[in-house]
Amino acid sequence: MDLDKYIQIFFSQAENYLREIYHILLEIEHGHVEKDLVDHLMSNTHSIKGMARTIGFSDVEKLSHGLESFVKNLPSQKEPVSDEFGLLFEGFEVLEQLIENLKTNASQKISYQDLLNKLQSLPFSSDKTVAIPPAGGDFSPKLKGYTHAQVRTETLDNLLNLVSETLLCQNRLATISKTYSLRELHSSLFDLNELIKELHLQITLARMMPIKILTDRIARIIRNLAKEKQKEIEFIVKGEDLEIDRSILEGLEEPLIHIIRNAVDHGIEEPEERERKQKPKKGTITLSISRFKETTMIQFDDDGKGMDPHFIKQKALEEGLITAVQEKTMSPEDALQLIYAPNFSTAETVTEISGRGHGMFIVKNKVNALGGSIEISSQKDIGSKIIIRLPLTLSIMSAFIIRVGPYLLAIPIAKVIANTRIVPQEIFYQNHKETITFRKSPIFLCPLHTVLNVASPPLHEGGYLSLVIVEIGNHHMGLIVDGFVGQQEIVIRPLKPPLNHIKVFSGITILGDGKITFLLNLEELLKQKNP
Amino acid sequence: MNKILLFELNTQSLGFDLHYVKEVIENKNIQPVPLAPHFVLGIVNRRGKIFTIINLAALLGVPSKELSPDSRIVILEHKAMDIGILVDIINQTKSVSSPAQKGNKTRLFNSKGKEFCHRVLKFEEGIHLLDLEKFFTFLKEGKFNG
Repeated sequence: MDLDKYIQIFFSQAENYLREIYHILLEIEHGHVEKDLVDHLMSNTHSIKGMARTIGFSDVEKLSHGLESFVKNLPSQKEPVSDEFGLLFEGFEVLEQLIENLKTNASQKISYQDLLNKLQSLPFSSDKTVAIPPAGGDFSPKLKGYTHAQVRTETLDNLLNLVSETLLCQNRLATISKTYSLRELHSSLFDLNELIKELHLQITLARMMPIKILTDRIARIIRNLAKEKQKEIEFIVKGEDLEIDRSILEGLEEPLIHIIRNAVDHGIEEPEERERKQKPKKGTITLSISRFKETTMIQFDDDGKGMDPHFIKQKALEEGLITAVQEKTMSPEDALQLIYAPNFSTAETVTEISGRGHGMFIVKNKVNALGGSIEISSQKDIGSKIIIRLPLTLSIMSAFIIRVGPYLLAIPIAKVIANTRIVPQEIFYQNHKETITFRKSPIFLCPLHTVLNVASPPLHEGGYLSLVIVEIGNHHMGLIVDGFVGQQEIVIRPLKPPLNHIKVFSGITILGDGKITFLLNLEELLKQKNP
Repeated sequence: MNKILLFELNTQSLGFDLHYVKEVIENKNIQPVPLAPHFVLGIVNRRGKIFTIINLAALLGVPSKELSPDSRIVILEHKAMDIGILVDIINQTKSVSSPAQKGNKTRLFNSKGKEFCHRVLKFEEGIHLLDLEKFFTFLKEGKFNG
């Protein structure tokens, strides 16, 4: 095997080992010092050391050796002193940086000698007992008993694309068989469709990764940030074993970390302030992950200072985002939505006082780009709650196909509440917007023909208009359309330049009959309609 | 030595580097795109791949000609975009060895057209060479109203 290949394996394995290590460290820090965990920690560190030695990454080898000795002598069955334990976090973070630098060929030098000295000077570190094992052990193939294979993520992406294309091809064949009434072909195609769906599911599952990878990172960020800001924070994760699609997980990283930073920076108060408010000295941030049907739900709760709708309204007024009349009449819930406005979020003073809000515009955009939605609620001095809802996968979804003028458009079925018909007399105006009453509540209308610049929809026989009621976060909206085409499984592809600049579409797809259809970006429609 | 693909828009001769060309297809089955910029003619589904067709004449400010049986779509090679451009007639390919002399840019072009034509070849008549990199950047940046 050539060295290059070794090095690639090293990077990918080291990443796995480090991920495991951080998880164990967090667990130990929460009070479970079990021999098992310490052993596990040691063997992971040892593995990194062994591999680094084989390749000749001497810095990585030296530091992991120091860390290993330290871990080896951790007093078991006794809760470790936090300062000393903190050194381990620091140590592995430096180790991670060393590896990252090697990976990216960064020339910047990382000094770890002080850290090594500190590790060696602590009471339970004795370097004498550690024997360096012969090099290379970790590369020896152990084929038997392997239940996992490492697959390049690129291969998984390719597989998913291929199965999506296969589904499209099958859709086309189904259309042909329908056109010519080929009954036998039709039933074979039905079987084929079932197989492809199963194949898609299996590949989707293979692409799934435990959300733990991300929550462990978040736990570390909270830990470090709380220390820096001298705050006391308990971080609770529920449902971290749930798995989500890799590309969604990747896209989720930035918004989640952003939300967490906001909560630590601006949400949770300092211990003295909390005591004054008669709250527990230690603040709590809870992250709960759950799944309902085809939606993954991620919920944040903190018991910090929450957001003050009056203050937000005042600020929005100053920034010219709302009028004086709106300031008086706007409900507290609507006021909270103002933090998503791009201009609002950049005002630094606002974030200092209002709790969260900084950069929520970006967070929202990122979540929407993943096909998800975000919802926020907050009570002053009690805390804030943010709920993010995400689809299971990005590429295949059930869609409702509608017709507007000469165009066909797709809406994710998950967002459709009802399709119905209304007569024009039912429309009234509320806040200058066309509105109807649906299931006893007012829903404002979005006539798609005006959005798309096409002629008004004809009234159907009997004088009614076709309407699709959709749900966007906690808002409802009625889309006036020319007609319904039906429901289909569609494969969503991203829009490429120059079409990616058309904001009301979020993707493109080919239907079974070869027609090209655009996926409506409902969040954008809502924004245009309800700025 | 570069090979150049020559084509016509209305009566104007234009060309660009042949290595950008993936294939040339017939002009049919173009579907309109709602809310597209004015220079987007539509999209075509070619073997399951979706290409955006650019009305180059509209973009450069050359008066558009009626579509004829000679009209073709030139599918371009690009890693992040699937673009085809509509041209009136494909002429031929030509080898160009030296940097061409600069000539006067045609009065027919608008400012965008002048920006994209980086040089003019003086063969029999002026052949305007397009800078497709500039064209791709323009599509990517999305400042279509300026």
